[in-house]
Amino acid sequence: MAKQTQKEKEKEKEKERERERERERERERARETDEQDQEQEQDGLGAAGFAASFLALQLGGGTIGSAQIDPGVHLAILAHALRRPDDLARVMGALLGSVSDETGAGDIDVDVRACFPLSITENDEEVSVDSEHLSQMLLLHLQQNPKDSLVGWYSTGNKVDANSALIHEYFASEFPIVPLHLLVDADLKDSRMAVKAFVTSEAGVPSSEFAGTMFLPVPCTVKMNEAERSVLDLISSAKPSVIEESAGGFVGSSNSIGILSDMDNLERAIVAVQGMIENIQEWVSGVKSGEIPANDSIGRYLLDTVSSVPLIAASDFEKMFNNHMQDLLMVVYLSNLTRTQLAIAQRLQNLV
Amino acid sequence: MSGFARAAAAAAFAAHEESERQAEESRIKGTYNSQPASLARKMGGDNNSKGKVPDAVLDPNADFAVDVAGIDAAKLETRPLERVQLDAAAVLAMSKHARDAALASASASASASASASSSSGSGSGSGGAGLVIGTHGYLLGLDVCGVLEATNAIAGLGPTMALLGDDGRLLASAAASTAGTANGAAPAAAAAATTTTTTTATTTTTTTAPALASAAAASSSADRTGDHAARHLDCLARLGYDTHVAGLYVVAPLGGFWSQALVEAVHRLHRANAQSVLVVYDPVRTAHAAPSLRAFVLSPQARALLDSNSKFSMDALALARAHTTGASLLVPLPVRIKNSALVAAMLGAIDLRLADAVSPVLADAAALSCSLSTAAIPSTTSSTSTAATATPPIASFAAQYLGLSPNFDQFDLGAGEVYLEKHLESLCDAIDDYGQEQWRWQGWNRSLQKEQQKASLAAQKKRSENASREASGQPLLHAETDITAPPASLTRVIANEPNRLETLVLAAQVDTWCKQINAFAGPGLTKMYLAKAVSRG
Repeated sequence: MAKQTQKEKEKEKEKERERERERERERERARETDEQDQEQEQDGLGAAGFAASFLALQLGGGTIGSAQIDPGVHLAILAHALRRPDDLARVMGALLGSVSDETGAGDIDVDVRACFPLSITENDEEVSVDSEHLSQMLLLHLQQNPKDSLVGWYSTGNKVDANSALIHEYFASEFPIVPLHLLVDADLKDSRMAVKAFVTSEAGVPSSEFAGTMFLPVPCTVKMNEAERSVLDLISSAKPSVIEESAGGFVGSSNSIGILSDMDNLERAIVAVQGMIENIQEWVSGVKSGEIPANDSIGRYLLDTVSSVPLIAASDFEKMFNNHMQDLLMVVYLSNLTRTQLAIAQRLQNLV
Repeated sequence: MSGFARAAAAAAFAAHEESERQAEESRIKGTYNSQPASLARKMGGDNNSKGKVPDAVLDPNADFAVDVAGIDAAKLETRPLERVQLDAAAVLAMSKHARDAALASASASASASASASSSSGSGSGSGGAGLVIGTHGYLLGLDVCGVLEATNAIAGLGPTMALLGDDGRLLASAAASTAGTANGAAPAAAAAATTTTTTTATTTTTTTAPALASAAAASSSADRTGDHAARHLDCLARLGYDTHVAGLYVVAPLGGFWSQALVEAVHRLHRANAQSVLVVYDPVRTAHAAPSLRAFVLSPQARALLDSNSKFSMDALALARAHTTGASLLVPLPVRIKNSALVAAMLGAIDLRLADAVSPVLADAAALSCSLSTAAIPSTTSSTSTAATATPPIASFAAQYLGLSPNFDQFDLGAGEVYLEKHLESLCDAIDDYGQEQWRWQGWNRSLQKEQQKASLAAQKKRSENASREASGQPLLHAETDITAPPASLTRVIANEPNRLETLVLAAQVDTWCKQINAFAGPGLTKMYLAKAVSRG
């Protein structure tokens, strides 16, 4: 049977295409701004003065163009941030994933798929990495999934500072990679959770003792596959639980949601689509009665969407519909029959 | 005190807190938890004046003065499990593991997997203790007041499950406890002795001898899995994560998870730790429809049967005769997924990012922002409130419908056909297997009856001989015990009984598949009527 596309699915596809185009434009814009106006964080060596005049950039082949991050990585980083001992200001860890190898001209795309926490100690002057722990965890994770490789490191907090530069350099020197630095703001400083990705480049006069590093932002997106998307869909609809029963006895605001059956999930989606259609209807009637000023682009968009429903002759559709329905019902009947027979057989066997 | 020693102290104290919690749990249960002792040995193994670790942790016999002032006493009692609560991070870790395993098996189909499967087969055969249960992992967490809270999930290496020690901890190698502590001491020693010298300009970290003194006999895959898991847990413990194995999870595409090995594995897990669960994650169903996560515990009857007799003989089965069907082996528990507030904020941010990409298109019309936002928007997501306040109304509208929730991929009708087909294929295969098992059992039954007849005939003959001897006054030829003792052939046949567990497991699998087909029918029909309505109107 031909796949029946519905109006809403088409609308969704349209919006996805729009999103893709926007992302492309955004990436280009980001690259342009990188070259012209760097918004970098300087390290503590006072290289701020060099920023405007000495543009010792090493963009070109071999730098990271964009980063795509799995949502599981985000959640693991947040879990790590939650678990830190109270005196630690921020936590760090390593990122694993894969790099699209474009050794020629052009930027490489980094795909971050996993992460693991590291034990790092730092105070104002010094910072140290437990490299034994790092190598052991790396080995374990690579045993698990040989395709992953170390691609960078993450830390929480909302700005990059001298210690970050040191750690970044450590990663760059110990492993043969161009490390990616992911900064996750777990304290919600700007009342939103900011996730930023950076690469470093030298700043200042190259190969001079005053050379510093600057962190260049890299556009990063969240990439999900279908299974993750549906899990995230469920999770994001969690309601705060009224009665707080967490282990420590503290009354926090954690949300939990039970696993919905297929029908419940479908119902939710259908209700949402209904809401959307009602909104559109209201808008259209508002425009018709003159209350709302008409908008050509939206009107054309709606027209495209509505006309994207495939036109099938009614009789053909009826035939296809009935066939499919009969198939489905027959399969259900057979499965019920099987179950009943099996139950009888088991009871009989128990009697023997 | 050097920085790393401080970190070691912090980690030790975190581990100390964790062990206190567990010690309290075990004290209530009435069994002494040996974990603090071994942890203390690990920490104290290389304490070359590297900083102060609390003495209570070092001394294995110290009675931990558990500070229960802040903990409600009701929360510390052990109740039978009634719910499983998974962290969002754990669920995503499971889904990532599932995807990696699927990719690995798809790509390495020809060469590598053949060797891997043969080695794993030999591993399970040789050790006798290794159970091949497919892609699996371990859930880490703790159970509180009847709710098992799993906060993390680590993946198991390969298809063979790791061995469990008596107290439920994963064994690093088959050479049980002695090697376990040696293993525990080695990484701790290596880590503690890592010296880090830092200057203001550069960081230099000097590493000690890298060769970790892991158990040499890591040949069989059960050992490898155990090694891998134990080392992973060691590393996590140092950072303050939960390391108590609270359950097992299995990745089962299309719900084909029933197998004898799995039932054995769950039984073993239960024996080691009574409050543990099995979670089944189905990646194929999750991609098509709602996330499919099921949690099970062994039913009491199943536990009794498995405890009593490993071969499920007729006598044992007669005990639970009317009650044991395949599906009643495992009892399902409701599952909930929990987010922390940070996760909610992050999901809101992801939503916004999706919406931001769309909003430049729609925000051309300033008129839109007032009309659509004032329309009645059913508030399906409550978690975007923190982030949505600072954004224009159009973005919030878009975020609610175009963001993560709800997921419109499930409207896809075409995917359903393949799903049903696969189910039917598997169903046919399973029924064939079931039929074969039945036939085998019938054959065995027939041979049993033949043997029994032969034995009774022989006994009769002996008795008649005895009687004739008695009648003629000669000493009895056969002692009474001789007559009643079953002959060797009969005992052999009885011992050869095909395992009833296999039948039960197959029946349960068929049952699961039928139930899944039924569950698919509801949404399938709904979607079809939806398509009909759309095409009409």
